[in-house]
Amino acid sequence: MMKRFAVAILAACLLATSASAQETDHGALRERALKVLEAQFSVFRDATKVLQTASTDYCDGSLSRDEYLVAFKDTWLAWAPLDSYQFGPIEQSGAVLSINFWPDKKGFVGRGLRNLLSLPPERQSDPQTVAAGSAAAQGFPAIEMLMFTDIKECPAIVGISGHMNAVAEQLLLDWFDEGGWADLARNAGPDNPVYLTEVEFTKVLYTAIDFGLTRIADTRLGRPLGSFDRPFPKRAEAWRSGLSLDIIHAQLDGIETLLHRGFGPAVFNPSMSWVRKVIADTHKRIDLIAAPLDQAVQQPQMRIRVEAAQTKVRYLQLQFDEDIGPGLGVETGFSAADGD
Amino acid sequence: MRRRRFLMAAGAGLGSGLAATLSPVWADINAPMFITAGNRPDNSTWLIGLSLTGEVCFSFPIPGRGHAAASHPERAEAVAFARRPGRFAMVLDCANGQEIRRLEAPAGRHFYGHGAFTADGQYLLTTENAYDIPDGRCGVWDASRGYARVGEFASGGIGPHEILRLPNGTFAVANGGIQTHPDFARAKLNLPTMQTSLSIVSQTGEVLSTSPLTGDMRQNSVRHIDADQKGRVIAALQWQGSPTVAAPLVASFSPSTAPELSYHPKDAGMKHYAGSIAISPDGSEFAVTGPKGNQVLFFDAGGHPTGQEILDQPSGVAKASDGLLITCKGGIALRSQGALERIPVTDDWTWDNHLVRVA
Repeated sequence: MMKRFAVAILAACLLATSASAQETDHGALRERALKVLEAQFSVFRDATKVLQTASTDYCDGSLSRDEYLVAFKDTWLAWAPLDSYQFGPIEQSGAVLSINFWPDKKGFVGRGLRNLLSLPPERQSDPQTVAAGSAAAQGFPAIEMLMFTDIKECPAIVGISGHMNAVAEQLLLDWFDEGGWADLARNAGPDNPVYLTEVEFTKVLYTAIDFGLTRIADTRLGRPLGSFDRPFPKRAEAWRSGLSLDIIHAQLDGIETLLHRGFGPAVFNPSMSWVRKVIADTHKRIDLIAAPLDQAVQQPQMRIRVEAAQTKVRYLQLQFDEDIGPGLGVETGFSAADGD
Repeated sequence: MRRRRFLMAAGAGLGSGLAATLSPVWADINAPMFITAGNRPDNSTWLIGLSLTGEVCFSFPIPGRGHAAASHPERAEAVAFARRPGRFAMVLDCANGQEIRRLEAPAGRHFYGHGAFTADGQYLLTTENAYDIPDGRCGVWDASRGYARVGEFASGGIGPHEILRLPNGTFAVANGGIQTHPDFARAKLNLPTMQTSLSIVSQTGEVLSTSPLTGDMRQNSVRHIDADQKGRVIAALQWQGSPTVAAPLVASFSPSTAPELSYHPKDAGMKHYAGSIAISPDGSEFAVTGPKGNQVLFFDAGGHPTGQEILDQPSGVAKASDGLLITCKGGIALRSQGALERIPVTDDWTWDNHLVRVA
């Protein structure tokens, strides 16, 4: 009896798994996800435009430092969700380093800025000059160092933010202009140079979410944590401006939006509401840290809270590996076609 | 300086090894034998010894996905490497498939998955990423002293991938040109500015020459290589430029001439990705696997296309006694006299990514 019951459950489970895998409508998922990505890339493009204007205004004295730093923060937080999408146009353009050169263990940002600031002012404010220079002196860490150290920030921030705006415009075009990466994703098939089947783009998005969670747990929280005896506060991203935890919140928000609005009904086991609750709990745990990350990792009681947030992110990742990926019909195992 | 001295000793043929008298040599092994990394459906990762007829001679569990292996010139030892960005390599006794030694990449370095021994077998050279600098390095390990790490030297470019000992004792290093960092998983960080090249390095660690691919081809990553008896190197390329551009996937490098590209009518079906490359034992043809495009391309010795075979996920290719042996989904395939014979291998293996002949 018992045995027959077990066999029946097993059969039902097998049936459920294969049925659900077949039910994932990869075309519909792709269209929903592309809408999310287009909105996120547009927000970043718009923010860089505002930052470019703000840089000019700040340098000619018509904008206060505090007002400028608001624009700076908004732009960095607009980038945070895009950090997860390191494939396609971001990878092709090298934007991941030019927008956010981090980690910077060898001090390339400082070196790059010294080179930039050795040029005459009219060249510093020219985005083309910035584009031709070191990637380390092209993005947020460069502006941050200019704004939060004694280095003279004007007019270099005008050139840097102008270059960032050009990169942001190009990323949006490369993704969503006719014949862009979105069209590649839409035309999966044997003649497509990137995506042979529709499920491959779902897998890329799924991998991007997993990568984003890894960036939060291992890199953004893990690097400054170091060990109990030896934390590395200055390895925290954006420690000078104190934006470390805001960036993590924003990246997590981006992941949640892609899951909720993009993956939507394709995620059902565990349910989307469960996934969103875990993400909401993670936000709460990050709020509990209640100190800038570089300070928190140095205080035993605060460290525990950082570790608790990290644990929650890893818990979410585990659920992805065990249930959500297989439920989507995304092959998470090895493939000889992974290449290297 | 220290590194040079060690390698000078290698060049002088010193210390070719007391160990040789203690360990089995290749003649003791039931030849021929091939090594590849393999994965099971339960996501376990293994190192596999394969015979020409598809028998699994040994299977040894490894802590993560493997990539390629290097065989010792005398002793029946092979070093298997973790897949990029791996931090481990293991030295195996190929007589019994047991681990002799495990190598850990030093701090701030990871392996790219390939290595090669000096002709006398004393030193193992491994391609490595010095990722915080960033720079490409060749690590030097003394096989006669338990594979102690004794130094490193510049590889001549970013992203050194396969390293191969040439008939004259120097080494060819495929500098893929792609900057990566463990904090960014496998993301490519420098595609707009990447510069791929092939370097020839002496066994004392000097870069003797570096041949870049120029123009747009600087984004056509030189990754896997084989060489003929004259020292001409052929390379399997991975196109990293715009995916809508048609790009060739084979280059050949001869001493003192510019690199030559070889085109094949079926290039587009490779999905911009050439996997492994090997020249047949008689030198008459070479094969390039396309694991993403599910086909193998064949060229004659002069680099002219001669044919194509459809094969599911062809991964590694290596010289067999009278042809070329290719790993593919469900088994292996033997290319001989222009024909392809498929040989099943039992159990559900997925091959990762190269096949190395060790005996």
